[in-house]
Amino acid sequence: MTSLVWANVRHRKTRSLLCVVAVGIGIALLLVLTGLCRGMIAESAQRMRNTGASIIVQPRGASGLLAFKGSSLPVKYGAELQQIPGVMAACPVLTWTTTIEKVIYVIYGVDLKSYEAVGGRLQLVEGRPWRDAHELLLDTRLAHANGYRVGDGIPLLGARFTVAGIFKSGVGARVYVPIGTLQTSLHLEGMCSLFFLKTKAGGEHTVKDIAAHIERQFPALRANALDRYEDVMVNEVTGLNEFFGVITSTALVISFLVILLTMYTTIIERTREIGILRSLGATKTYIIRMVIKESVLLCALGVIAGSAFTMLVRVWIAISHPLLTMEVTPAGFLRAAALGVAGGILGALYPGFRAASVDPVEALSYE
Amino acid sequence: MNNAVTDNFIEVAGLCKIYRTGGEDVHALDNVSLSVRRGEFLSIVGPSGCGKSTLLYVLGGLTTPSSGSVSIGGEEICNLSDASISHLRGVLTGFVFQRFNLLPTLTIYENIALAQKIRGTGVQRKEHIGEMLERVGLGGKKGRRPAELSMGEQQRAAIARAVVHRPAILLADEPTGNLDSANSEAIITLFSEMHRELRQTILLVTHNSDVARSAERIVQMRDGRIVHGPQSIVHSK
Repeated sequence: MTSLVWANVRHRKTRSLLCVVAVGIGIALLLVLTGLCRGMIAESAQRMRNTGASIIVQPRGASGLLAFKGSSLPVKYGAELQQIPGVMAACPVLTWTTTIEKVIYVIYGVDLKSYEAVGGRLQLVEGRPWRDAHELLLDTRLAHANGYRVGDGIPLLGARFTVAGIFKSGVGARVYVPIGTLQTSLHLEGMCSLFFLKTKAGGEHTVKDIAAHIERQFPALRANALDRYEDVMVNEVTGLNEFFGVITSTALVISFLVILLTMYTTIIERTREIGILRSLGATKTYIIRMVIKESVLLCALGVIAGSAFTMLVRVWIAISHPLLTMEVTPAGFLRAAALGVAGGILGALYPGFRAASVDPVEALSYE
Repeated sequence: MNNAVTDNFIEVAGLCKIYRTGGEDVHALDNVSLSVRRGEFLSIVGPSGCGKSTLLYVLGGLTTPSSGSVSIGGEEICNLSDASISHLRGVLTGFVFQRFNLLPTLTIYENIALAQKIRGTGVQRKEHIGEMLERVGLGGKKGRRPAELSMGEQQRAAIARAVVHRPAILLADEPTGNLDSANSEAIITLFSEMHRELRQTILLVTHNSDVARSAERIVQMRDGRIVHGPQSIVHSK
């Protein structure tokens, strides 16, 4: 049967190629879109973790993505948070969303000493820390993407900021400005968006205990351990899981429809061949298995093509859009492969049963 | 399998096959009864549409009769399951068709090997494929696809596929219908040689009286019936 399946795929090159390309597009769509979403979230969460802080404290109801301005907190809460057993340091951060070169960024307003106290050490690769209220720090990816160098001016918040230093990317935000400057520009003096807390390592209080303590003591606040912040981000983006579901279903439906259409037309075209196989002793089950095998082979080739296309897109994104992160894991490939093959099997069932029900004598006289 | 010519191997009794075409019933077979001895070479002759091919398809389990019975080797075949009737088609019988019915995407060797796989005799009989292709004069063309062969060669390949597993019954439906006289003669000679060598029961449908005369016995059909009786025209070889 395998030789016949291979021979059919090879013999009908255009049909096979179109089918493989169509299934591959579905698989690539799934891998690229979910990979970009997961990659951006995972990279943001990783940057949060890389601050070195243990806990993030925000007003209850604030966005986990920090992409939108939440209810602001008084900076003076920091002193009270530092009194909680197990907390070593607290750093207020005012976040703001703005655009640089038409791309949206979250910028952090911090006091660098306070930020370093919770572990947020920015490793400068060029330049120096800011000395002036209208100086800022950029990460290497943003600087590379836009060609910024130390000393360049960037219009921001209605003023012109100078790039004082460029730090190695991967810690917190891509842009840092002095918290005082940001507060003044936004008319939010004495306010911040969140606190990063550093806890005592190996102390009697675990991070989880401390977070629970904060939420008990400050019912208007919520405290999350940063090592599980990715889950918080995914859960808080409205419709993200539904989006993943829609993309997954779309890939499944594409695979299903392509195979259904391909195998259905193939069965019509090969009616006589089915009659021949039946005359040689092929059972109905054999015919169904043959149709399913061929569709699984086409889907498998489609999955390979889609995966290869995804890797090409990933390279292209890395080169042309260095600020985007696309996460494609082996598990993601396996999921996409399973989905493509499942769609293929489902799509082959109806043509398979139809082929098996063909009357052998009628099939043999089919022109 | 005992191939000696001793008993009635195929028994057909009161066989009817009715097709419904354009709202009307067409009696393709009308109360056909026939006995065939084991190892007998029988020709079924008659004009187009007389039901001779339908009779062959019923005997080969490709279609079921509307009524009547068919037994092969004492076993009734009309009510068998799909698996059993498929086994009968694959193992007990071999089909040769007018239009050869080779799979165009496979080579001649692959066509025969696939048939062996379907029959479940692929592993133990694989070595027979080369021998059989040599036997039908296609030893040097086993890697060719059907479209690369002449019509006579295609039919010889189809015969090789039909007999490679040594079936007890060979059913041939107008095997020379698409061939010129030289190739027809070669094919009929091949049938006669194989019948002598393998002592298979052969039922050959044809409207060519010269081809029919190569058989041991001739049965004539008209309008779905055997018109001269099963033993009426006996060709003495």
